[in-house]
Parts: sequence; C-alpha cells; structure tokens
Amino acid sequence: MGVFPENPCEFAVEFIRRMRNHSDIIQIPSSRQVLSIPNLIVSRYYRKGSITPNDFIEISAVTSFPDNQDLAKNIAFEILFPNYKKNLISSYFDDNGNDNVNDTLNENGIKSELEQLQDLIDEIETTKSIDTSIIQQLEKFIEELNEKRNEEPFKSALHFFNDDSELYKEEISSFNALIEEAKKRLTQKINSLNPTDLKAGASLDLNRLIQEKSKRTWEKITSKALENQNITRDLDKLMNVGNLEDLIRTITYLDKSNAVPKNLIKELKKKLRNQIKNLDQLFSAAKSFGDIPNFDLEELINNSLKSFSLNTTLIYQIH
Amino acid sequence: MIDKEKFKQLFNQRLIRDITQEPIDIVLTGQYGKALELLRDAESTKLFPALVGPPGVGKTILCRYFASLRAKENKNKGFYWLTMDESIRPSHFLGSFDPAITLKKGFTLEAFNPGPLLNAMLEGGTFLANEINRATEYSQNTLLEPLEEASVSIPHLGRIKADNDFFFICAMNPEELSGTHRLSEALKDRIKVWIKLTYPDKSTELDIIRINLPEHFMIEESELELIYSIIKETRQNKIDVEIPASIRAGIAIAKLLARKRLLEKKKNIEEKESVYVYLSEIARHVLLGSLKPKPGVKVENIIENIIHKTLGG
Repeated sequence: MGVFPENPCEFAVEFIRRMRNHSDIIQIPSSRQVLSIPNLIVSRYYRKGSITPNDFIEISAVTSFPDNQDLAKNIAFEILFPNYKKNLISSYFDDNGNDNVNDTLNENGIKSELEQLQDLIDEIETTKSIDTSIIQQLEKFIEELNEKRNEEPFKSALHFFNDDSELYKEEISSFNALIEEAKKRLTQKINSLNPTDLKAGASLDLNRLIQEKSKRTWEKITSKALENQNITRDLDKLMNVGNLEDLIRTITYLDKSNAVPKNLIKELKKKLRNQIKNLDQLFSAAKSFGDIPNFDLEELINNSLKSFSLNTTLIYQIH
Repeated sequence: MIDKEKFKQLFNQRLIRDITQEPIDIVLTGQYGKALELLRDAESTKLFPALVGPPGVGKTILCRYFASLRAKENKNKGFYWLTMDESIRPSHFLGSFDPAITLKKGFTLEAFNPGPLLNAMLEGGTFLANEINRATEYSQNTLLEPLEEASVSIPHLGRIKADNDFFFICAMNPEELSGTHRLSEALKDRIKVWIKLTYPDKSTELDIIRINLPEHFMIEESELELIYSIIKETRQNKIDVEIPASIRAGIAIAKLLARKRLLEKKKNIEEKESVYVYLSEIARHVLLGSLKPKPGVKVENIIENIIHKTLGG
C-alpha cells in the first residue's frame, strides 16, 4: 500500500467484523456500512489527493450510528495501529467470535460492489506509482507545444505522431526530444514514405538522409525536388529505363507533395504517351493519377491483342 | 383592510429566488470545517448524511451553506427544507391535490401542488429534513423509497425517478432530548453518514459571535470572554440543565451589550454602568428563554447561580 495506510476494503470488512463482535455495541452495523467506508475514503482521496490514518478513523466513526461512534474510533485505531497499546487479554484468549460478515456480504450482493471498489483502489495505487514530476513536466511541455503546434518544424514533427498520448508514452518533454523522435520515426519509415511524410521530412531537414537511405526511386526523386535540386536527369533516366510503374509513382509523389510546378507534372504525363504499351499499364496509370492519361490507342490495342494468351492459344489450335 | 398591491410588491421584493444570492455568514473552523468536508464526501458518493446535535449548534446554517455551494456548482438547483414535528404528514413532503381543481378536473397533474421533497427530487436539488426525529414513523416512512430507490410514487399520477443530482440531508437533535422519536431501523440504515455537532470550541464560538454582530456594534474582547464564560457555565451544569444556552444565546447577549455601548457612545444613557451590571441584566433576560431546566428545577435559580459564579454578586 502506498496511497492508503491500509487497504480500504479490507479495513472496512475487518472494522465491521470487530464492531459486530464487540460487547459494547449499541446498534449492530449493517452490511451497507461496509460499502460506505471505502466509498468515502476513495471520495476523500480524490478531493484532497491524500489519505491519512486519521481520515480512516474519522470515516469509520461517521459511518457508525452516533451511539457507536466512540467505540468505532477505538476499533478503527486498533486496526490501523495493532501494536499500539496491545490488548493483552484479547490476545490471550482466542478470538472465537463468529465471523459472519463475509456470509452477509455474499447474501446482499455487496461483495461484488466491494470488488469493484477494490479494482478502483488498485488503480489508484498503480497510478500513484507513476512519477508525478515527469507527468507535470510533460503537461508543461504540451502547454508550450500547443502555442507552437502550427509552426515549423514542430508541425512536421507532430506529423509522425498519431496524437498527444504518444508524446506521454514516449515521455517527450522538450522540443529537441520531439524533433529527435520524429527523425527516428521517419528513418524507420524510409522505403515506405508517402508524399506527406516526404514533405514533413523536408521541413525537418532530412532530405539528405532520405536520398541516402531510400531504395525507392520515387522517394529519392521527390526528396531531391523538395530540396530544389535539378531532377531532369533522374526523370530522363527513369523514362529510358522504361519502368512505367516507378515513373507513374514518381509523378504521383511529385504532384502530391507539390515538389514541382503543375505544368511540369502535365508535361511528364504527356511523355507517358510513349510509355503506355498495353491495357494493364493504362489501367495502372489511370488508377494512380485519377484520370486517363494520353495514350496511342492503335498501338495499345495491337499490343494487347498480341499479348492476350487466349488469342495465342486459339492461333495454335487452328494451326 | 389588507393592501393587496403593497403586499404583492413587498413580497416580490423580498422573494428569495436563488439561494446562491442569499448571503450566509458562517464560520468554517473547527468542527464546522470538518462537517462540511464530510458533507462533500457524502455528496460525491451519494451517501445521505445526518447532522446530529443539540439545538443552536449551527446544523441548519451549515446545511444552507452547503446547499448554496451545491446550487452554485449545479446550475442553481434549489434548496428545499421542511421542519418536522408530529403533525407532519407525507403530503407535506410530496404535495397534495388542490380540492377545488380536483373536483373540477379530477386527479390531474394540474390539480397537484408539489411538495418540497418532490420538487427537490425532480430538480436535482438539496432537501433538508430538519428535526427528522420529531416526525412520526408514519411520516419517516415516506423517505424510505426516495432514499433507497431514488424514486417516489405519487398517488393517481405515477412513480417518478429522482434527478441524478438529488441530495438529501437530515438534521436532528440527540435522541435523549425530550420530544424526539427514535428513528425507524429502516431509515437509520439508509442514512450512511452521521455527523455529530456539539457546542463549538471557544475560539470558534467567539468567531461566530463576532461574525453575527452588525458592523456598528462594537464590543471589547474582554467582554466577549465574559459572555463566553456565562454560556459555558450553562453547559457545564449538567445536574440542573437539560438544554443549555446555545450559540444563539451568546449572540443575543453580545448584541444587547453592544447596543448598550452604542447608546452610551451616543450619550443616550445618562449613567454609565460597568460591564458586569449590564451583562447580569442582559443575561437574566436572555437565559430565561434559552435554558431548559430539568424537571423540578427553577430556571431563575439556575440563572442566578450562573451570574453569581461568572460575574460575581
């Protein structure tokens, strides 16, 4: 136990048991009192932020009927401080009092409510074990961050986090730590970066890193373009290699990341006319661009017919 | 002949529409601070509390203050209270049908005048059952369903469920005082927090007296000490006194003494007297109605003894 001097649920059950077995009891405590004690203790904890043995004693007294309150205080004290003024007589004779508290709790369905309270108490104990100074530091940082959230490079760094809870999870409490974590996350994503990642990477000054580490042509070329490097040679090389898939993806990335002017995108799409040789390629380009690019219809149909396997089979059978 | 217009105007002027606007002078040190804290704990856990203490220890003002705090936090939800005695009936809690409208329209909602408990339940306000142990068991039973199930049945109209914010407090005198009934076992079991209030400690009681004196009434600290010694003496004489002087008696003595001082200052009193003379005269008049002697004991004799002991011959 860290937060509570004694487990409130166990304390309540023990308190009621001792009250019931006491010879001076005037009003037998009801099973409902078992629930009232931990409820009030938890409520007071939430209000004050801390709980002392005195709170346990006070709450035990006020949940007891006025005639029993003095006795309640003594019994609560005895439970909390068992070694203080130990009652030698009661320790000499065995405590043979019938322990019927648990039976009554079961009958009234109070036990399940008590278990719920115990879960809550366990949660409080667990939460308390977290270093609150770190949380305070994190909260302070989030407040500062909120003021600069839309400024670069923080806006781009935040792009690599789903929400603020991840900042808490990673215990990020400074702008430097934020940038470093964002760089780490981008590095891990290299080879599967999307246009927005590349833009954020450019803002974080990571273009060189992307160009060095990435094996994807479209990531490299887009990153170069975002760094205002000349990409004409790279694009020409790509056209000459004839890898249409890479070319289509590069154009899409350049377009979506606004890395090059729109008229260059138009020009590149025009150049695709000579690259699209069959229906599969046309479909792939249309799917990536969202519209049908220019293509040579006659050549496309001829090529498609040639490569159509059923046609080949039929020709073979006729011969 | 009653001037109805004037009555209406004055009534509207004096109508308390919102408990939060009503100034409440309260001292929250000592037992009162602790009691308020317990009321807060009870409210947040929906455990209904009882304030137990002799007359005049500040049970009602504490409830009013707590209700005004709740009203401020809960969008001005109201505060209703009912002081009990043997003549209180369930209809005083819940409300009743207006006979004239009922004859005309039957048992309709329109014909029903809601009582304070029903209003508090519907609105989610605070209901104070003051002097609850003066009510008969028949009336006490009306509270069982609202306290256990947070619902209540209105004959002919149906059963309503209380608002989530509904909160019930009861106040009572200790059972050993005459005129009280024992609370039924069922009701006792529904009251989960028992807050005992006794006569406050010296510094708290003096603070209460000070706070209740109007601004232009000034008395010295030594005079306050004397007033406290008179009041304390009534509380120590447990052989002859059944109900000792309450805080109200102390306030009354202080106010009357301060008035004498004011008249002196304004030179409206020709012969200046010592504080002992003033206090013995004032105390005689105030304590006469504030003390309740045990059977067979004359209240005048008790007062004379107290004055002799605290103020001298």
